[in-house]
Amino acid sequence: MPNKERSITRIILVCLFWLALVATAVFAADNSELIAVVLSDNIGPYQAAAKGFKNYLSKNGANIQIVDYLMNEYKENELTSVVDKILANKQNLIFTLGTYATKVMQKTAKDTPVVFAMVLIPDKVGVLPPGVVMDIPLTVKFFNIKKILPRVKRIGLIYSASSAALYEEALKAGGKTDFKIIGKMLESGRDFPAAFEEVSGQADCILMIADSEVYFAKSVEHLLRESYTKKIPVIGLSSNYVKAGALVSFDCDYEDLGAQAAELALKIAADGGTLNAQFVSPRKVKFALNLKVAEMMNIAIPESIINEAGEVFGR
Amino acid sequence: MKIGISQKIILLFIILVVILTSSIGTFFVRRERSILLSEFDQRSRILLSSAATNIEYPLLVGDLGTLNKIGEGILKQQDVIFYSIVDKEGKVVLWGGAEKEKNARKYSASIISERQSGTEDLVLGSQMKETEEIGRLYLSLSINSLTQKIKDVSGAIALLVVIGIILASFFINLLVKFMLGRPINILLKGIEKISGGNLGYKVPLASQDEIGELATSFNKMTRDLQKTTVSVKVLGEEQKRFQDVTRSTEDWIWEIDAEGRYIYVNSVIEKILGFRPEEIIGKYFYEFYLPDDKEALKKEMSEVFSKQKEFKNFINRNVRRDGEVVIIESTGLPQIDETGKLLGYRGAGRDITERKRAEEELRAAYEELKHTQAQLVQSAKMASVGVLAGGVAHEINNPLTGVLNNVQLIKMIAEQKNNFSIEEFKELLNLIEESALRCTKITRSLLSFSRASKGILQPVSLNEMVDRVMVLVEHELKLENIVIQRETADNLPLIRGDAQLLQQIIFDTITNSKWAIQKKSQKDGGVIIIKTSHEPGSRFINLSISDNGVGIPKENLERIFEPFFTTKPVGEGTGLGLSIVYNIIKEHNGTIAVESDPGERTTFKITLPVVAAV
Repeated sequence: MPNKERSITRIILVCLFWLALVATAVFAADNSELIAVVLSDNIGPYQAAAKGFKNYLSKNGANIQIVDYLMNEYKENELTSVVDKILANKQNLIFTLGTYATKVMQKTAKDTPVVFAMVLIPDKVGVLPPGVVMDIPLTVKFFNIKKILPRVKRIGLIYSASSAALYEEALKAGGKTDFKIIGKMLESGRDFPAAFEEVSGQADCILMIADSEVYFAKSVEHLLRESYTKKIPVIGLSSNYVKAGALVSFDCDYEDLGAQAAELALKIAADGGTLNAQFVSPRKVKFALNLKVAEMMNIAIPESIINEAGEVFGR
Repeated sequence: MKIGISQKIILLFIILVVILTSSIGTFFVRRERSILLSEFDQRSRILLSSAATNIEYPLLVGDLGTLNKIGEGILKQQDVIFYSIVDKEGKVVLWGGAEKEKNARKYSASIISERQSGTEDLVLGSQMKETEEIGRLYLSLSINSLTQKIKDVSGAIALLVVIGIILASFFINLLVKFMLGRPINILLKGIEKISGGNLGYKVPLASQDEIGELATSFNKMTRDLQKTTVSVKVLGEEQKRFQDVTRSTEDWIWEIDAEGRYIYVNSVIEKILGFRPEEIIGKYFYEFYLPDDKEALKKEMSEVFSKQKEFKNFINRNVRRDGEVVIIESTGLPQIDETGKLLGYRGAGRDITERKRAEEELRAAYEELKHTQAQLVQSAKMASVGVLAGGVAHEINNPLTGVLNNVQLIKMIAEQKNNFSIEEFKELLNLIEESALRCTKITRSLLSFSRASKGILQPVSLNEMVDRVMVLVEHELKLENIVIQRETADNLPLIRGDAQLLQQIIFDTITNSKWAIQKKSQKDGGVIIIKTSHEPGSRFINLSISDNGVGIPKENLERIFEPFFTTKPVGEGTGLGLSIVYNIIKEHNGTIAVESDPGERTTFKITLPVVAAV
């Protein structure tokens, strides 16, 4: 083919390609899913979950447009307008992270499916499925405690009336994992020192539970301070506590948790939005270690465990 | 009490320094006080916040032991004198220290308990927290130490201010004294010297600042002042001289402006016109002219003014206050500025009324005198004519005798001869003609001599005048055995004179010479030499008449031209001859001098101006 004709052909092909691309984009735009991602707070775990959510959808070919909203940016009196704005976009799906965002959107988005993630105990706070909860089952925790702290036989648990169910669950899990649960219920937060005093005398470690009646900044400070004194290791609620002085904690893989939520969302989408899924527990658990605390408490942590840990503090 | 400029400046500076340093000191004291207070407050609040934070949990859990420990720790903090912990109901849970104390500042803070708002917030460490006030912490801190610190700081600053003032004052004093006081004193000294009269004094300051410039300007000023003083002195002297002159002079000093109004007159005007100077000032110069003369003089002066010319001896008639007319002779000089504009005239005037009157009288007297003189001359001439008469008669008699004799001879011949020709009588006729001409000449001379002078000066020939007189006197002198030698120059320039008077002087001088010769020796006779000459280029011609008569004694030489002076016996002369000669020569602008050797000779030397020289 003469050179001139070859050039002209090349130009025509390039133009057709770009036209196809544009057409695809146009058509794709028409066929894309619009998902609102609403975060309760701008914290790392929520961001990680949101990232996992988006990546999963992208990898699986979902044609999505994601619009992020941070609820903590708005004041109480602005929420209504924000919610209206979200709903006005007529999303195909609303993905919420955290109790606050989930409760708000579930209350207002009547016609749009809402999938949540990162809610700790959904039925306790009135959150409805579908969604991926954040709570790691106690049996999982106990299995890991046995692996990490083989010498621990008795697990202390300080709870309040609002977390009595957790105590019951712990008793059951302890039975399954051959742990004795030393529990002490608090009447009020001011009883914590005494309760700790009592429990720490009997238990090999203290397991923190997500009960704000029992654990708040000062009580946690007291707990960690006293645990040093009494050399009683604390199983923290998250790696933040391990960093602050707990020995070990069990965390979700927040990114994977987001991906889990994305899976759920796709299923709902495939189902036409009617899938009435149950709560899904996180499938990946990781733990954090504080070697300095372990050293101070004369607790030997095997290297293999250390290598397995998701986060290690106090190297 | 006199305060010098240096002291004033120093005082001013000190006041400024005091104000400034006091202000700065006050500012710093206040600032320090504010800082200390602020630090106190900040420290107190930090303590309060820290204590409240520590108290939160023990209060929450009712841990009195821990609260007590915290309380004891609080009381040990600097300046804390009291604390109290109150629960949310307002009930005092714990307190310590002494509450009531003066000079204490009170602080309080809420004791806040924070809880995560949600369970996952508890797990995730979210910032969404709920807070609850569970009590209040009250602290009282004594400000005694603060007050003392403030006092100490204030004292230190005050001390610094005082030291600063003292040092600044000291240095300002030094600086001002050196930089200002000393140069000013040098300047003052210079002023004293100069005011004492030492205008040549030079201020010894050469600093490169305003004082140095002032000194330089001052020195220049004194140099100029020196010049000006001299000028002023000279001016003063000139002014005094002027004032003395204007006061002492009899002349009227005046000045008018360009319009002709008087702007200055001296006091003499009152004597002249009867008006005081202040009555003249502002009036036009022509207001005092005689009304008949006013317009003409005004016009004449206007022409002079327009040409900006000076005028001299301007005669003008003015009317005095009493109505009398005074004649003023004025002289004026124009005053012109650098642009050529006429500013006015200055001059002087003199009352010449008396002078004019005297001139008139003098003129009249002169006329009278001239008339008298003319009469005298004529009388002398007539006397001379009288003197001449005999000689002239004799002079005429000879030629007439000759005429008669020759006519008689011709008559006789004519009677004796019947045939005779004119040729035979030609010689006799020639003799008759010659005699008749001689008579004519003599009579003409006599007529000319006797004619009264008309007083008209016109070009005449001196030689001719000599000739005319010779005609009259030659014969008689011959009879007296007096020889006339004539040495008259040829081409003698004409002189301007009166012919009759000139003949008179020649005649009278010859007559005087004749008398002198006769007095010496009547028998021996003598010689009269008449000489005329002219030196080339001279304005005068010379006439000398010498005789070898009796001469003139030395003591009489000076008097011979005095009227009525004579050495002739009474009846022989009036003594007017030579005085008339003298006067006539004077009238002709000539000179006469006499030289005489008594007993030998006398020479009258006369000079008369030639026509061009008159």
